Amino acid sequence: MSDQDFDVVQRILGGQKRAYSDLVERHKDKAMALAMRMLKNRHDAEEAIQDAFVRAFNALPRFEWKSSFSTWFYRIVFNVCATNLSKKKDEFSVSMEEDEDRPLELPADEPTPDIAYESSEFQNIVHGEIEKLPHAYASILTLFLVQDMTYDEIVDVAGVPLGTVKNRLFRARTMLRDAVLEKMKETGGVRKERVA
Amino acid sequence: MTHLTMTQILQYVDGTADYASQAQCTSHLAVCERCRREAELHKKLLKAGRQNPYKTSPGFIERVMPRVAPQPKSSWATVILNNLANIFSMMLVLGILGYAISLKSGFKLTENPEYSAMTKIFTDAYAKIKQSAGEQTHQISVKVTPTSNKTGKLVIFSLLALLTLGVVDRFVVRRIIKTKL
Repeated sequence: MSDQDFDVVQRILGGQKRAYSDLVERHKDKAMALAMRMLKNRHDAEEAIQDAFVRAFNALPRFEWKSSFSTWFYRIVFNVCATNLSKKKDEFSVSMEEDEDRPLELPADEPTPDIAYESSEFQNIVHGEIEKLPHAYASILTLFLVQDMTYDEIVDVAGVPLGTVKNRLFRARTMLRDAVLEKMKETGGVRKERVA
Repeated sequence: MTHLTMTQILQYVDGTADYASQAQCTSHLAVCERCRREAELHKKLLKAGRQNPYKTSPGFIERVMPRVAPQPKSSWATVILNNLANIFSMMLVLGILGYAISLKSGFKLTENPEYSAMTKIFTDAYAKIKQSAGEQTHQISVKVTPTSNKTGKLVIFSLLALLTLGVVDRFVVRRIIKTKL
């Protein structure tokens, strides 16, 4: 993908501005995922990624390929969304207490229930519960899952230390696990226990 | 039995654990139903979470591109050239319609005796030349009709039709296109 992005960027810088539509086509839906998970509103998310695409286009001549185009572009999307959130005086940061490096253990007494994963509801529940996570967790989880980024790339995009990324990611996944299990119990997606 | 930590399970599921930890997890999961279920749950969460349920609305690219690379404004000549096929199609349809209407409204072709006499002279002369050349002749009959009245009606009709088409295009079609965007 990065090779394709490189070729397209070279064409744009060579004067073929209309080639930018290839980059927009390639990244718009994943950018939409990140914006939706941060802004929680379709209209705001589309506005934000339109702004991000325009900013990225204007900044292309200054892009030095120190990272891949996608990492650089998602950093712009992330910053635009974070700015929108701060304008709305929405909570984006999480407390220091939440960022503490605590060991993450399995819940002590409660065995993991058997889930009907094949149910069509499961995927919808997972996406619904990710949307309910706080912005700071949902955004990092989305970069990890949808953008398929490494920890280092997430550090680059979100501008937070590696330890914080790891901690937020693990916490987000734990919160998601608990929320999905709770929802599956409510909707009857948990199978009868196989083992005592 | 000591269970695996959440960190160990997530690293195992992600494939980011080192070789020793991965081997330890594998052997533990072989004997521990609880940890195995937990690992399975996280694998499924990972798979489901990787699907992207979001798509931008239709026409997103068309809304972004004018902001980064605006199309140069076309001159009237370019617009006409680009729409040449449409213009010809419209003229053809209008011509057929006009002809049909003129027939229905009893607009009949009349024969002008002066023109008929002249054409008879020419056709007779042509027949004599053909005969002298030893070829078989055939009668040619040409009807020349006065056109001034018909042409006037057609011009007015065509102008009115073009005006209607223009108004429909300007105020209806473009509004529909904008609504779709």
